[in-house]
Amino acid sequence: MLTLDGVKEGEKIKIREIIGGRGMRQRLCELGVIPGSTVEVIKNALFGGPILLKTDGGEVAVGRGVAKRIIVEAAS
Amino acid sequence: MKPMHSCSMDSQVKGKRFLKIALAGQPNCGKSTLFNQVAGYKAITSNFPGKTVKYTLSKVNFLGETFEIIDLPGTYSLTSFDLAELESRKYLLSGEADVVINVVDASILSRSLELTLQLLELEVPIVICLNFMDEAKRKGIKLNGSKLSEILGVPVVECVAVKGIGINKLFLTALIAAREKKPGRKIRYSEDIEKVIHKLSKRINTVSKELNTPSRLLSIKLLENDDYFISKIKDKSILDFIENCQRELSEVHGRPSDLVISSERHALSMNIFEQVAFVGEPQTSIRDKLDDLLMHKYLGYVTLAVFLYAFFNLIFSLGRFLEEPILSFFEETLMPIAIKHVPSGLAQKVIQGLLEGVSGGIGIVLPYLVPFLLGLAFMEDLGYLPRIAFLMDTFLHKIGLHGKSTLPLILGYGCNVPAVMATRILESDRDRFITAVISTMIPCAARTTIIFGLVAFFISPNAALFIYLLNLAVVAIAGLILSRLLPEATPGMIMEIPPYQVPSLKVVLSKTWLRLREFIFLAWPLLIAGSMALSLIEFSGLDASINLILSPITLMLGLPIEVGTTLIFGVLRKELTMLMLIQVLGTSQILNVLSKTQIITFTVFVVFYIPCLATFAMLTKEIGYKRSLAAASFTFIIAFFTALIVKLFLGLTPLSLLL
Repeated sequence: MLTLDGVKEGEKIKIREIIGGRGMRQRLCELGVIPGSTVEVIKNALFGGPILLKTDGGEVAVGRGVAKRIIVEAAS
Repeated sequence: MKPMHSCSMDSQVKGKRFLKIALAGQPNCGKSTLFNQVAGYKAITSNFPGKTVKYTLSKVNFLGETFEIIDLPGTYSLTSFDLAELESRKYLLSGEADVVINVVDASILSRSLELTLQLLELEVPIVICLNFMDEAKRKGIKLNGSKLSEILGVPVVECVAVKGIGINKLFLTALIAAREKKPGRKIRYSEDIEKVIHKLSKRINTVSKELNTPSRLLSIKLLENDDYFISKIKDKSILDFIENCQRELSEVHGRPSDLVISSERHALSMNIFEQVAFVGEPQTSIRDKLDDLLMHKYLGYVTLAVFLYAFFNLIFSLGRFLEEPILSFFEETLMPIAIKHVPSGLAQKVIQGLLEGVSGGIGIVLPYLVPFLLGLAFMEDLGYLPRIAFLMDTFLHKIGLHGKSTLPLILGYGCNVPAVMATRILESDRDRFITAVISTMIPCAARTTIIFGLVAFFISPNAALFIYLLNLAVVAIAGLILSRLLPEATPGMIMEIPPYQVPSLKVVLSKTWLRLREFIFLAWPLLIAGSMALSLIEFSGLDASINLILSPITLMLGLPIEVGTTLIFGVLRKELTMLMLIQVLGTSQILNVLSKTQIITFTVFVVFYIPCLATFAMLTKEIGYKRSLAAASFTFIIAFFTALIVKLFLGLTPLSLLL
């Protein structure tokens, strides 16, 4: 099972599921990180840093803790 | 429903109700740029009653008509997920606004429409402002505004707020819409969801009237499991009914009902976007390349360090350049006049205190604070701040916070008062508390004066640098301690990184002014009052008893007993500690009476212990009285032990150096 924090820079992936409370889920959805949508990992910072994503709704930074709770799969 | 905020009362007192236009939109949609284009500096910031959520409002004259513009906080949606959203929604539901201008970032239209769809459910007149049309064009997006207007049933006006394009037309359209009072079209969800919404709407009809909320909107929010609305429903049978509806949705779609609704909204928005947009080739520009450097894995940190070094250097040289003439004007021109004309004694002391307080504000704080806040607002508007937050997230995680705490901490170097205020951008109460407490330990402009005046001047610039590095380390440790004490899992960082923008002068100036105002109206009066209180202490000879009470601390730190009073002074005004030190020691040649170790120990203690009165006042506003007291004790303990360790580490026998 692949989570967002393990995705390499420049890869496009599909969001499968968000494991987390409603608050986190909702904020992610508002920013375009929605189950079923495709996003691109632009930066995957060093030392457990955050991850920068490109979604339909612009660019979004998510902390590594949040990223570990987003299950993804390779974009078809 | 009661009027939501004081401005309504204000306009009623004057016997005339002005037309009210509310600006609603997602964060970074250019809402405040638009607001500043029309509002100018008459704008005032208010809090929603009893809340720390701010909104800004201003009276505006346009085409011979006066109306009020209310700039609501930016919200991604209309759920009650955070305070800003909850308060904005309450305001919009109160029916206070005659028309709502929904500011939309045209360059990310599909995401922005998700909020629009929710606003349409409010059943109030809406005008859509398609802002950032230039940015959309740059991204190769061509939008058909009239098609969008047709689909949503509301007027759409294309704008470039930062350049003032389309603004007249926008407000003219808004005024007309306010008169016509015609709400837009509600966009239909897919059939099965509509069925559930319809069923629930019928069941909650009476409740929706009590809550003054359109039943369709209420149903949708209840299906999203909105905490606020759920908590308003007391009838057990209705709650069960809601739960059944939620279950029905989640069983059919195989995901929680709130996700069903938000996915649906996302799909609807995408669909509308595809109908009104033509996406061609984006124009490439230098802005796309900028992040390759500024957010690079390694180079990003290098550029950040260089940037911050240059930034602070510029501010300190500018500040020093301004500080000296201002202070000498007060000390050499005004003070002698005052002393000459006022008979000696109590009155003279009080006047002296007053002048010192005024000059402390103008001469010591403002020369650093103004350029600092200007620079910060510039960086913010440019879009660099969220990127700094991104870079710093890794380090802040180590102390149990996340990247968004960066802004308050950086602000702290200017003045702790706006820093504490800036903790409002954090979502969780725990993060706000921890960030507020540690930001009071950041050496502000006033404490910088001490570090420079004592350590850099009498010892060496390197020793001053040591104090800053030590400060960072201690702040980090304090953050760590606090997050261990409050081990709630933080939701982590989810933050939008907006594209770079050419800053608008108006926005930069008004942001600076809003932050500066906290210093001028809150901190400065306290500073002046404190200064006068100090004169009284001196006059009444209370200082001896204060020295005695504080002697256990001063002795343990190996400092002369006389410095006790200066510490009390420091609570009132941090930068005064240095002036008072010179006064109590009876010489400005400090090295003759204090050893280098003592100077460093003293400075370290002063940098950390207890926030100044003005910061404390702001702290009580943000985190409450009890927790502010706890914070003050916490910083005091930290200050004491840090100073003690520094003293022992520097390894001199301090008692022998006592005066």
